[in-house]
Amino acid sequence: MAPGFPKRSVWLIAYTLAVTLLCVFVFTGNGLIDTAAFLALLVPLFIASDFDKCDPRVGMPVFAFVLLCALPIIGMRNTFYLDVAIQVGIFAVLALGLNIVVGFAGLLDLGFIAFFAVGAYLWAIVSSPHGAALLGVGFPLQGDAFFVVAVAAVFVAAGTGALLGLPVLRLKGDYLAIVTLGFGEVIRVLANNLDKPVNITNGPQGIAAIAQPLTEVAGALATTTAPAFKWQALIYYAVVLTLVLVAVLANRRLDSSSIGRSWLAIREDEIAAQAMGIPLVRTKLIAFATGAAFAGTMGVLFAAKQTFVSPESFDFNQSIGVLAMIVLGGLGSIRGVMMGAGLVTILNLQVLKSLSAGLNHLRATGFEIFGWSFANLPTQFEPSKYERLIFGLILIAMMLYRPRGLVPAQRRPISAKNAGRVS
Amino acid sequence: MTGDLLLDVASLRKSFGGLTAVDDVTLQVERGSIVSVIGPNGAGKTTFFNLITGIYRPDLGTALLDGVDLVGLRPDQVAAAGLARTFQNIRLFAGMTALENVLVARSMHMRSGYWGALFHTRVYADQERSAVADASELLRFVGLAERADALAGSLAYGEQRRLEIARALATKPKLLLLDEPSAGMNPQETEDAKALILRIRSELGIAVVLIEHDMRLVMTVSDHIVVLDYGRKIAEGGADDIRTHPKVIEAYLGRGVAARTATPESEEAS
Ligand SMILES: Nc1ncnc2c1ncn2[C@@H]1O[C@H](COP(=O)(O)OP(=O)(O)O)[C@@H](O)[C@H]1O
Ligand SMILES: [Mg+2]
Repeated sequence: MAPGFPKRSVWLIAYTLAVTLLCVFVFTGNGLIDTAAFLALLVPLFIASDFDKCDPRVGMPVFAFVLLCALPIIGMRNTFYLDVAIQVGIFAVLALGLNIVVGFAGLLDLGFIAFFAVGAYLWAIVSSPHGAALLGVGFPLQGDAFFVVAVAAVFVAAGTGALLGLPVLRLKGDYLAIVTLGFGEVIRVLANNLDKPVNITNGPQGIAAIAQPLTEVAGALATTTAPAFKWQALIYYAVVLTLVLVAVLANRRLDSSSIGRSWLAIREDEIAAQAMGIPLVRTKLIAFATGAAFAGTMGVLFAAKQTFVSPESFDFNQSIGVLAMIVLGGLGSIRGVMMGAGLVTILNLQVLKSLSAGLNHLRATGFEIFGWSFANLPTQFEPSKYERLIFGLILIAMMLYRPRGLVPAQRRPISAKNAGRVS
Repeated sequence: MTGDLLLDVASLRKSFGGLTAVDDVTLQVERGSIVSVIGPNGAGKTTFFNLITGIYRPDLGTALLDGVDLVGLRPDQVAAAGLARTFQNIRLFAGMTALENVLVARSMHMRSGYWGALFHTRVYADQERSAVADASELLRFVGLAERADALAGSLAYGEQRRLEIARALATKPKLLLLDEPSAGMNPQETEDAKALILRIRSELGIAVVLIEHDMRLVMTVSDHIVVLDYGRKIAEGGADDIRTHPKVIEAYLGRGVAARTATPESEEAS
């Protein structure tokens, strides 16, 4: 063993390869054990990204292997896993955006999902037949305009964030939370009701037949074993992965810059920060707009991927969900926030659902344990219905035992050498 | 007062409900001087600082710093105008490192902020490096070079006071306001604080206004002393004038003692 190549690295690599092989060849379904195997595959991501404990020369390749090889292969065999990964990615970026607002700047925003809605409706309107009827000649835009609109959404959402933020950010603490909650609902109610006098959002029915990007690429790659929809999922996976990377990079760079320090200072002590020359409203507005920009871009992606948007997708619960992710992971901690997003999304999408499915199966087959038959289990009992309850319990436990989150934020020493070079 | 006037506060007044915390206070600070503001607890000293740094808005009066009217400015604008301060009840950014605390106060002098940070421009990197160098130098100046990477909240009390001074100095002020810099310090630390205050003037050329209860410190560093009591200025002058001023003795020790030690009523030195 070469020096500087500790045993832990060997274990990490061996573990990653073993789980990958298991996932690719043995546990390819959606059942409970398959889910567990898939989750086991995500553990190396967490370990490999901790450069305090894991040498980056080992961590980076392991990280890249899981994301660029293992996940796509598993996902192409069973697109359900790609879908999960894409959802995790979308929520990871949302969480990173909210992390800037709540984690860095300390502004409790309970209506964050509104900016996600702005992005989603933006793409829905410009790329659907419904929007064509509204906007006229030149519309709907082709699917590949997605990339242009995704960039535009950065600015549209940031603008919306600034617009909503301007009157709101003079408020403090609880007041700010209540007003952002209100604004979040206002956006949803607007989406619900802007079908008259002019039909912009198509009201509660939502907008369907939204265009998808790069469909021709997916079509060209299609074979009998890998049909176009699988390639389309892979394309989304690639796009999401890129956006997550950009979001992490932006988060880290801002965190270690003067604007990031100003946010932290405001969070720690507004009066002292202001007395040290930090303009409060402007600095908060930048945080708000930056967070909104993250959400807006992901909204565009969400609309394209679902090909359908309706106001339901943007209710208060979603804002709370994203907030729960960052609180669970650790406010202000980028790794923590990513982990929170992953855990919560997978818990929602996968663990609880497969638990429900597993229980249903046992119930249907009348499986007996210690003389008690699962057939006696009431049909109303479904773990996926208790999502919020389980969440609540997890959050309470977190607040009691790890109030700073699973991966608490840490301040890293700055030296003259690394100043301005964090990436 | 003659010479080069840096801060010129005239007839400043502030009431909280029925209580007039600062009542018609006038104060002038010359460039390069050290002025002390003393007075019993509740005399309105801190409120006076809060009024000229934009935390409260005065009911009446003017405050000019180097010709710039401070009244009506926000605290960050006051800082940009060249007036920096520390707080009586230390207000550091406890969860940030000592170096970061100082860097925060540097942000207003850093022009390439947001986009520079996102795209890692050369200008941004250079600026960040020089800010870190400056901040480290300031930490060295106050004797905290070794503690640069410690969280501010984990520093000893005396260190926190010095860090607050370094942070205030990072805004590149013309005038530094110190609110009870030696409060809670032992005699040795107080001695260090005194040396630091003198070096701020001699090495950095920054004028200082000092709120302080430690009379030895006040009497030895001040060029000029202003005494407040119940919001009003009751006396001002040099150390010797103040030491023997009957109104000052009365304010500090009570009327009975004042009567016994009374010297012939002297004019308010000015
Ligand atoms: N924000 C405020 N609201 C009401 N009263 C205040 C406020 N700030 C200060 N005071 C009152 O003003 C008086 C002067 O306080 P302060 O300036 O803190 O005194 P000092 O710093 O000289 O001890 C005190 O009576 C205090 O209670
Ligand atoms: Mg005071």
